Amino acid sequence: MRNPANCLSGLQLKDKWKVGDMVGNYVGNTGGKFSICYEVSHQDGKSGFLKALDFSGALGAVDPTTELHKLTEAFLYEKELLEICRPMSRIVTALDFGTVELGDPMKAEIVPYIIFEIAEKTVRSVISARMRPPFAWIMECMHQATVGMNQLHTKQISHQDIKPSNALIFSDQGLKIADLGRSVRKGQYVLHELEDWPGDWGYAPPEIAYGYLDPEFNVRRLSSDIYMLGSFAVSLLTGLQLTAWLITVLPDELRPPKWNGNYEGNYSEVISHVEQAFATALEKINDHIGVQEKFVEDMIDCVRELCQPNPGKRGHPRTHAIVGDAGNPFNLERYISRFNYLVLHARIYDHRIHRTSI
Amino acid sequence: MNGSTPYNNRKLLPRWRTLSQSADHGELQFSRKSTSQPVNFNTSILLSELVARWQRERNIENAAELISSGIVVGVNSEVENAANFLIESSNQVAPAIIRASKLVLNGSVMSSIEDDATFSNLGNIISIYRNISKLKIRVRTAPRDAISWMELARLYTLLGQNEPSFKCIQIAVELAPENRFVLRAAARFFENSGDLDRGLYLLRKSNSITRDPWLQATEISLSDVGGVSSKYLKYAIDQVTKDVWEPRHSAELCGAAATVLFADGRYSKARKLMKLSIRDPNENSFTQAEWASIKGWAPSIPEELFEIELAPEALVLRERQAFNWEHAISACIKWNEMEPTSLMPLVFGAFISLVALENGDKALTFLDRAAVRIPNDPMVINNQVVAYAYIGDIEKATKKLNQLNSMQLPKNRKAVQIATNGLVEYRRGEFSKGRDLYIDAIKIADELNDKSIKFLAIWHLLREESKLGTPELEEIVKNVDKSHGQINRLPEIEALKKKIDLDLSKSRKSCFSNEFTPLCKTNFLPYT
Repeated sequence: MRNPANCLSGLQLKDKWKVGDMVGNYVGNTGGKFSICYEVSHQDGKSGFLKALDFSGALGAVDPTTELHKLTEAFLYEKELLEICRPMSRIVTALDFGTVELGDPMKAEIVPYIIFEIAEKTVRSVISARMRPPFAWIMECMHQATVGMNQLHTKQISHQDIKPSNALIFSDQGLKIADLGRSVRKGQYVLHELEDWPGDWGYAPPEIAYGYLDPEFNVRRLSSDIYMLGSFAVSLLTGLQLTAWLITVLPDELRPPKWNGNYEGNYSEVISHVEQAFATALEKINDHIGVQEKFVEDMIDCVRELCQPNPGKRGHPRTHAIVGDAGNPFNLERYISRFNYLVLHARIYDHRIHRTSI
Repeated sequence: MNGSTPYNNRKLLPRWRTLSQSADHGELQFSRKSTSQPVNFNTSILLSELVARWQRERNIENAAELISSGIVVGVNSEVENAANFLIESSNQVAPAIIRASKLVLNGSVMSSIEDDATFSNLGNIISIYRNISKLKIRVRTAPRDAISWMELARLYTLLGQNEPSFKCIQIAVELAPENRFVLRAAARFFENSGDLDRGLYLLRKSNSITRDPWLQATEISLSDVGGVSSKYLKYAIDQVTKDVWEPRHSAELCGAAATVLFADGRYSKARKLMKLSIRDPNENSFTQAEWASIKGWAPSIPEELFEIELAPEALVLRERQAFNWEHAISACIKWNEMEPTSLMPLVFGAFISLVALENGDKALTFLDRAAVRIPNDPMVINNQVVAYAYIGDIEKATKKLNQLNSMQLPKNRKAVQIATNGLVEYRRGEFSKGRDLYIDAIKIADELNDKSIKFLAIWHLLREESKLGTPELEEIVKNVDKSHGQINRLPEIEALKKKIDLDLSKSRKSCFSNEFTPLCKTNFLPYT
């Protein structure tokens, strides 16, 4: 039996979108494929990226009913979030939604899809290159990513999977955060909210890796988001996320199974060691950057505040002091201003270096 | 006269060392026996999406993304492929990613604290100050890092600066009142500074102690040192009987409990526990078992265990029993490298060097270290005098002696000081004066009923006399040897006796005689 999701190339959708070549498939953390991607082009010349829901994996599962339910639920959830995020300037939004029917509808050959904006490149491709990008670019990325995350947080959405490959660079609009497939919204039920960690384990904050899940949504989800924002800053500066740096300085016997170790104790018992490893990692990151400038120090300070191993202490100390328990202590507005300020200083630095090198 | 003797009763107190050393000795591991199956995450599933993307498109971007996650959750063959790919493309890839790729392929991680704990570096005060400066910067930027506060305290302790050390420890225990590493180090600091109550208070108020055998072991030993009953002894023995913990984690607990029980006269239970402590011992419990074995109340340690376990203190105990003094000195150096906060390796090293080897130079390497920690300690100064006298530097010996003579000392220490004055007089050539001073020291020790100092003084006097070939010495040596006194059984004293015997045999051959008052006429030597 053919897989309808594989047969979209060449189709015309809603008389507006022409489906181009398949660009690959997304594989869920459970190992099953659940979406297939295509390039699409609009009749007015705009390009897009189509994500088609693939039921074939679910139909072949041991319990197809449950798998189909999971799949459609996740798809509808992402669609709903994208609707909420439509006005957000720093979030990759959906250009269109729909369902395509192939042949006989009685054979259930229907494929729901979402069309996204297509980016020029990802942050990952830039930071993996030999030359470190200019500091001004790094600071701008941080500023825009923070704006994006703040936009999500104001709607009580936690992204849960911020990483360089999910930060897309558009030539005309700068950085936007993509892939809300793993996001969680406060008060809204979604299956992956039940998982310890819906995102990429390689980027998960330490408390999650040690199995600590705070009962409070803000601490459990928003705080892990801002850890990943700090970790994203480290990726921009060094090419590697903070968790990878932490791993290299944490003794083997204190690492949890999720970090390829065998420590099975509580997070509270090991947090002092994680704090020590965190301090050491920041020193190593600073050494690696090798630029003794105030704006780099400030950036490291931001990382220190954003990535505190104690999830309840993350974020700006003043925000914690003012807001207390009443509001959201993980509010990012102070960081938006701070990164904006650092962009200016980084520009001056880049300009100075550029002039010197000439 | 050398005035300090190594311990007679060893307590199984926690070692205070760096975090990486503690990690190397397995002291940070989770201690409870796992009730569930070992958690074995399938790396392939955690990385499936990234692997799929990498397999689809083998480019730098996907490879970098895969190794970034792989380095955290675990390495599989695809992660290795990606790492190799990145290394091959190194001229186009960011340096940090190349480093990470090498890490993936080499399979090892960097040590968390780069500490150079070699004997020579430990004596380098400038290096210690440099590390203090680095750590001060760190705790300023990361004030919640309890482990760094503790490390700062350790470095201050190495310099003998107990006040700043105490402040750092207070901060560390406030920040991490449940952390095993912090609590054990703090307990050791308070034991060293004589503030046992504070150490016990910290241990007993922590919630972790009920589930942590390492903390229970510390509480038992600290209570023993303080002469108070342990609150956890009974509970801990019960837990050991129920086999709650992995043998490695209960080793110190068994050793500590065994030591207390033996002192209470519960020999059979003590022996059983000591046997349990060497099922999978750590270095410290292994040493305790070796000590108990030498003392004769615990089974001897299998030779193969000795080969596996790197336990320098146990080696010191073993080598001195076998009169292998050079090996014992090397083991003292290793012991100091392993536990620089303890004065015991320095005391032992100096004692062996002075009494068994009569090597002043070697003794000074240990004593100078001790002098940094406790600069005005009369015993260290006294031993420095002895060391200078042995190497023939009477000027330096006299200078140190004047410093010692100006101190207010308790009576037994006064006896040691007088004997040391006697030694310097002997080495200056004032034999009669030297002998009189020794006799005075013996007299004071006898009045105080301090057998240890009395016999130390006698043996040192006999040693000086043997060099002079005093005629009636042979008989005196025999009688002194017959006398009771634990000090006579010390291997170092045995070595000293051998030297006296050797000198006596030489003097018999040369028919040497001296013109001083016969020693037999003094009342304080067991001549008759």
